[in-house]
Amino acid sequence: MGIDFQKYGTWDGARSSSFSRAMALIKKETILALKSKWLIALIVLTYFFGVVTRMISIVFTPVKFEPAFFQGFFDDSQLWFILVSAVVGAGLIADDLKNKSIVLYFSRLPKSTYVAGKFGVAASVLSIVVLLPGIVLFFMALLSSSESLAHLLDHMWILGAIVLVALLIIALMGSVSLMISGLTSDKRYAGAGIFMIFLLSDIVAGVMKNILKNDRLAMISLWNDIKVVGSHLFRMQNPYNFPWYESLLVVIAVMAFSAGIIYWKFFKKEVRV
Amino acid sequence: MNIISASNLSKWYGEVIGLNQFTVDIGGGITGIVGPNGAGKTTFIRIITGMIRQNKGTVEVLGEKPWNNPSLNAKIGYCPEHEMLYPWMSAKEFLIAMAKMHGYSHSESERRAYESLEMVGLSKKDMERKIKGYSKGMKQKVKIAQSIVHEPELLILDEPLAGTDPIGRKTIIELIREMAKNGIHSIVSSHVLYEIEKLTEQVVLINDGQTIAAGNVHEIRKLIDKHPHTVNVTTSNARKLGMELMKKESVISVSIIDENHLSVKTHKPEVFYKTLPEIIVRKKYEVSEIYSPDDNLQAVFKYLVKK
Repeated sequence: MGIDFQKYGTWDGARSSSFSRAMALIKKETILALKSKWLIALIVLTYFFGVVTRMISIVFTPVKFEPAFFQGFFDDSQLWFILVSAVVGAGLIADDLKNKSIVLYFSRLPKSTYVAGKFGVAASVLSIVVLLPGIVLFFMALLSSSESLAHLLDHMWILGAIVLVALLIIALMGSVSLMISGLTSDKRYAGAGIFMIFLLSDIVAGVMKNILKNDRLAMISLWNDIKVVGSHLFRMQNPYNFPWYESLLVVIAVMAFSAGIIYWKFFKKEVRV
Repeated sequence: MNIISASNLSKWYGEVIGLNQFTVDIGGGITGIVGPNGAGKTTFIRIITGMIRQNKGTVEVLGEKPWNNPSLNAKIGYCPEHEMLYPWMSAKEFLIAMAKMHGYSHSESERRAYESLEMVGLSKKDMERKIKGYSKGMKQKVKIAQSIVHEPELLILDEPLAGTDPIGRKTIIELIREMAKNGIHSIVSSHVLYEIEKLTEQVVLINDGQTIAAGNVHEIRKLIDKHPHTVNVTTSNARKLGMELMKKESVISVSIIDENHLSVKTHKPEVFYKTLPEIIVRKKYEVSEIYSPDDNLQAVFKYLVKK
């Protein structure tokens, strides 16, 4: 076969920024992730139990436009969030390590762009199950509410609380998923690891809190920390006997630890493939 | 100007030494890095592509240090030895994604993906198929295509001819040569000297993590050809064949191993390989196997090291 080298000309256009390249990576990988039947099934289940059931209840019993209704969505959907996080997060880096394709990215993108892009994939998919249904619920409740206009206007801040709590969940789950996925080339282990971190921290916190009768030990559970910070943002009573900002510090520390591990793994160490 | 300058480069993985005080200066054009498996070729390539960092020594690629250097990476096209493709994507989708990560627009990425795949000889129909159905040779072509999709200044190809059929091999060799004509420098590694000889005259021989020889391949060939070449033959009558071979000027010695096996040493392998079939046909000897342990590079390197 002949080779036509005339076409192989230089390109005069400007190369896009790191941000655009990260976006290209996010788009490619998010579409790929959404091709997984497991993930689609989990998204459907999250919407069914978190949104559809609530919308049905709104039809039969007019809902009180109160923060508890929305915080209830986040609390009740915890398991689904964790499962989605495990399914989408497991393969984020593990698949690249397994396929040895990480060299393709590192020979094209700054490592920071690669890591940001991968985090963006987790954040995009988690937004579909955490942020989007929260916003949908807010507007559904708003439209079907029988409360006075003054009451509704008075409670508009709830939308901000929904967004902030969702972003906190996405940031925490995204960073933990990325860290675990970067530590193994087997996404089954990574998925189990992500699931166990959230589940085990919850079990350990529950057991230790009951044995040692110390409320502070509830902080070990990452989900309890989200719940405590969420209660503050939703202007509700803290379910535990310690200040909300301590829980926020735990969440920030876990995110910083995850970022540190990723930094050590990709920026300090060599990636052996 | 040197494209790559490495000085006393050492790299170890625990107790295993990948490179040992490796020093080399590589100029423009095509350069072959030749060495047996485990010689340190891939370690060297990974260092110059910035994938790993040397423990000792210095290295510069296109005048820059390669470790954690994205701006240098943009000038390099790297084709790793191992498979690293996404089986669930088509070659075209894969190449478009790779081009986008270099910062090209979607339309430009599409154009580049198509042209790069065409250049390596992949048909339009195959470009659209999922990679999981590809043969090893086709995957090899996609790997090379992804390394040229962004017009690199320097192409680094780790065993690019492995797994390719003769036509694929010819296409890739032509491609690398054409790239060189267009001013793109290439570093090509292989454990088969014969393959590299078809590509370039400029070679670096590497063994046990060290430079054994660097320069013109013909000079190195002459050096290798001085080395007595061993040929082992399995035949129905080793003694009679051995006696015939002893009469030949190209043969230094013949050892009869047993009734069916003999070992011949020659200082002119090309003459010997012409003579041997003539004798076999003329005398109607039954020969079931002819092989040379010296054809493997390890033996050649052992010889060169001893010198």
